[in-house]
Amino acid sequence: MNARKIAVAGVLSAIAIFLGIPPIHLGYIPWFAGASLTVMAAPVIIGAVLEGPIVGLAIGFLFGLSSLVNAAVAPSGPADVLFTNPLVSVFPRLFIGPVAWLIYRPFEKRARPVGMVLAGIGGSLTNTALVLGMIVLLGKIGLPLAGTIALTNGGPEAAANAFLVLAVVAAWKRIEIGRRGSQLE
Amino acid sequence: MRRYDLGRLMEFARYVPGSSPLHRLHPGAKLLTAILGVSLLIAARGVAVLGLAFLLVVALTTVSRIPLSTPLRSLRRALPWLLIVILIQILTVSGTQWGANYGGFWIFQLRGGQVYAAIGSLLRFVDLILFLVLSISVTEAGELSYAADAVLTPFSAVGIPTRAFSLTLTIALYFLPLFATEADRIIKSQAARGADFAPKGFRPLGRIRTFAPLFVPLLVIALRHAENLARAMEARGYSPRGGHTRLAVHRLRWGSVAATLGVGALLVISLLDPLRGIDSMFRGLF
Repeated sequence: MNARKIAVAGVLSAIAIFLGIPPIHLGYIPWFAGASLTVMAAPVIIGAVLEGPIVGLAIGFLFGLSSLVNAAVAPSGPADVLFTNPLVSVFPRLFIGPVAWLIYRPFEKRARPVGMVLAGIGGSLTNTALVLGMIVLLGKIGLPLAGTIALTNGGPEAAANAFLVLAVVAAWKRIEIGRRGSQLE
Repeated sequence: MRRYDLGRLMEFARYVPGSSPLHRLHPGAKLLTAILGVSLLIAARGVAVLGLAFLLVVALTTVSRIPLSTPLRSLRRALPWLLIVILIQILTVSGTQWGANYGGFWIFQLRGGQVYAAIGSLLRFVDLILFLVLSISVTEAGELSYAADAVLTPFSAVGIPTRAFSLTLTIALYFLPLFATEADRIIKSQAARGADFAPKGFRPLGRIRTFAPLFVPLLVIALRHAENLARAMEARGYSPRGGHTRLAVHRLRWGSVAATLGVGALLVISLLDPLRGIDSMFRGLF
């Protein structure tokens, strides 16, 4: 890891931690299903898209660790009770970055915006599937309920994450997407 | 404007200063005992082991001399969610339909096995919350990257960039308060342009619409900070391998080694499940 990768990993981890800090919870959007949507996977995916799988892994790990700490210190929902188990809060998050990077890599040379959207969706769904899968494996909720949550939350969450990943990376890399608001000439 | 004041509202992993034996443990030992202890609480089978663990965690909290209000506040907040989770577990998870039937309605019949499973879940969650709060309360933020470094060093032998990882952790903790200030600034300037960041009532779509104007600038600012930081590190001759020194050096004392080995031994013992007998007696009650 060179200085650049370390710096990006550290700074994006700080954002991932910051979005989950209670009692503000900037990273949560209240949703119809009762459980909130979270866009906290977005910094992990952005790190993976910009700097590769190891950086994504490191951010995912610190994001998971901070959700473990928050769940124990200041729980604010039923999911937080389950997140006191690192198998639910830390382990699944390790895979968000590497999966997003694997999806993004084939598009890197040609259609980068498409790659970013797909990486956003893939990374977010990895998070949903592995976290819920782990909760079912531990016998805390039944499979039908987990499936319902995956449908009602996983889909909108993936859309929100994909949108943010595209918006941020395009703004950072100065990639033209669609019609721009204003131009000088 | 008060509700936008993020720096003041932040509440994250509070360290409780003190000089108890637990505070004085080597950072690496604190991290290792935390990992081993959490593994124990997750792997533990049966109510008897979890009950004993509860007593042990309470005893350790007393030794640490952190005010009891700290763990109690976390527990009080968790309690309603805890009850919801356990209710969902009883209603949706199959495989615990054994023992006496306590009645019920329609397709839901409360059986003894479900009560037993609920008590186990409750104890496990309470244990985990108390233990995590204790571990966090006795560890200073600065000790964390030292601890990560100490625990991970063996893995650097097989080529894993452990030093880079503990540096990543240091940077993350260092930048955290800075981003609170930045987010604060962005929220205030967007609010000045008419954005409503605290819509009244339940309005998910409104929240999503206000979210992008906060999130995108925040992340772009973050990436700019990363760029500057990387240049500064390179200009000062940072190289990923070798030759790093530390400002504070902690000495490894026997107490820390003993504490780590002790928790490790407890983990091994609990995996052997020595309280099987007491547990099956307890199950018989339902």
